[in-house]
Amino acid sequence: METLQHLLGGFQIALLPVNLLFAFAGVVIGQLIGVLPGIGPPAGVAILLPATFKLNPTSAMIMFAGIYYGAMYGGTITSVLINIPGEAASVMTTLDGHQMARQGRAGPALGIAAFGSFIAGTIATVILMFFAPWLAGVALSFGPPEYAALMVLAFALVIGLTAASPARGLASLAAGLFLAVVGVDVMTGLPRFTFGQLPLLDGMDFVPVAMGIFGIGEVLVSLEDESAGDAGAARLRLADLFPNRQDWALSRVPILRGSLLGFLIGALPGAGATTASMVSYAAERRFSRHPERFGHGAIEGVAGPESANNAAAVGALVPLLTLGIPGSATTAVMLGGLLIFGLRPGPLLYQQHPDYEGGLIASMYIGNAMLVVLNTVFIPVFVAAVRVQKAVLAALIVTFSIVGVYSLENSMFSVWLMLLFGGIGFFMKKLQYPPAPLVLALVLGQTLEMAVRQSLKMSHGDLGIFISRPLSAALLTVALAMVVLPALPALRRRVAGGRKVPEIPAPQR
Amino acid sequence: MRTADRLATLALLAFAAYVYAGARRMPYAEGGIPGPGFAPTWISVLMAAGALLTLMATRTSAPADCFLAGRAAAVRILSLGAAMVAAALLIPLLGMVTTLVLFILATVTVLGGRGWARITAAAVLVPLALLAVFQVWLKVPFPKGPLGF
Repeated sequence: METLQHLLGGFQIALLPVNLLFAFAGVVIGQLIGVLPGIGPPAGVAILLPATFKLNPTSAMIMFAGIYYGAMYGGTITSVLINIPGEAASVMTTLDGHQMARQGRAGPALGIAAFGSFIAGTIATVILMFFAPWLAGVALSFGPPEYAALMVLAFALVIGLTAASPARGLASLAAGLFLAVVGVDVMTGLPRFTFGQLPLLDGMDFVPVAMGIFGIGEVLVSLEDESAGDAGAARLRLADLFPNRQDWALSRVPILRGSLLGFLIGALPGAGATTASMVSYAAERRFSRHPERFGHGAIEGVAGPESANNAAAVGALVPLLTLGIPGSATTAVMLGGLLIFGLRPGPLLYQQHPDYEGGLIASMYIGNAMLVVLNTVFIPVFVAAVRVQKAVLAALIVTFSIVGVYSLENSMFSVWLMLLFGGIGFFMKKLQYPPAPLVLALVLGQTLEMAVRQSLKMSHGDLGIFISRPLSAALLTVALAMVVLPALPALRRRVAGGRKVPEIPAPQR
Repeated sequence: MRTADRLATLALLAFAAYVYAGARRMPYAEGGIPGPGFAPTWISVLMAAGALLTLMATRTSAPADCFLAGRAAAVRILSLGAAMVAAALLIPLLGMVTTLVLFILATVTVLGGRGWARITAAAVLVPLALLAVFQVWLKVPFPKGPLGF
């Protein structure tokens, strides 16, 4: 009952004209970001952060959430029409969506993706509405050791789930933690790693780092492939978009399954929408009576993953809103923005400002409804955006980024910092170092350090405090398992290989 | 690619050593409570561990493709990089708006944009729109050049 009252209050906030406007702006921008290859939701949110500092935080968060789940819708268009995922979470849609387009069924593929995303987004928002207050209540009992353990768990999950190579994930995480300690130490006042730069005394500004790594870095990487983004796309009519009865019969269960899987996976820190869509695709193929149809234009291969990635975008807000721990790169950027607004998401914010959370959740119902209209009635407009020249797009993204980052402090130092991290982001992507752990560690690093120092102050320097408290011990055990378990198969293979072949094979060069 | 990978891990190792050396100059603990050197010390250890594990993995991994997909790709990426650096250098001299107009024109031309009328319109209108949003609405004082904006 209390939840429904919060939701009612939330709708009063979300339906304010200014918030409706920002929800609409968010979903349109998100949809465009999804359509345009070379820029993902974290980059979109990071680039727009500076333009929102004069807004009230609720409006800004409503817009950012709109960008996040709007991008999930938009990514489908390029996946289906030109076989290029607009953003990573739409990769699986290329497999069957593009095959459907080649068979002249692009309309139903885009239609089922839009309707499936709407249903999944709505189901996930309902689950978020009931699940989040409970989790926030649990988190209220957390002390510094539990928070430290929770952050260690988040880092372990991010390394384990986002990185193809956990070693690279660890290196990326350590780099982010290093950036977080730059500046004056809050407990002793000692400057750390400021490289003689006065602006760094206040710490490493989060926005230039995020804009550099996600915005500039992605633009540089996208220039490598000359063709992507310049491809032509088919023209679609509204009447083509509606799936027929058989399409609906095949897609009903995958949409529901994708919604639940997506929400659960999205709520895990580090897993995110891409993993959710992959798991959903694998599940649909496994449960299908005709798995051989997958990869040849099976509509279930579009309906499931597209529903899952949208539900995951909503699920990723659970740890952010209730625990203050971002579940993905985009929510890490959103957390950075909220911190600049002076708001720290977590159980206290959830308890003290239910209007803020309620407004955000209510806006997600409205945003999803807006998106289903955008993805049916206005889809020809977004299809036209696919034809934007890559050269123009790259120049405009850099221009927005330079102006945005300059406006933070009215200083060229931030611009240079962004360019530096743009270069670093480019090399990270090329060398397959995942950027998400770096950004997550930069946002949470200082909080983790404070939590560890406060815990050890409580225990007079005894590290046992982390394992003597049940919740902290449980969280650390799960974190350890997340690091050790993925390494076990490789170790087992190595041991088994060692038994068969006594000599250690020479390394391949 | 493997060479680039190894160079990157070696650079990371060197940076971890730099962080460790910096951390050693700060108190590690004060009265049993972690001091300002505590976190950087452990961060340098994590960084070195990540770099070493990556280095070990690259020893056994299969040869990968080239670092960049050909000379043309390298030219496009380096051109944009150079244009961004030039823009950052020119903003204090020519002003934000003039520099960004030149930046868009130069970048789109070098990267192979087509349609002069549309490119020129974008090059002029986008910086002016940003001027309206940031300088007029958000009151951000942009650097001005000899033309007064």
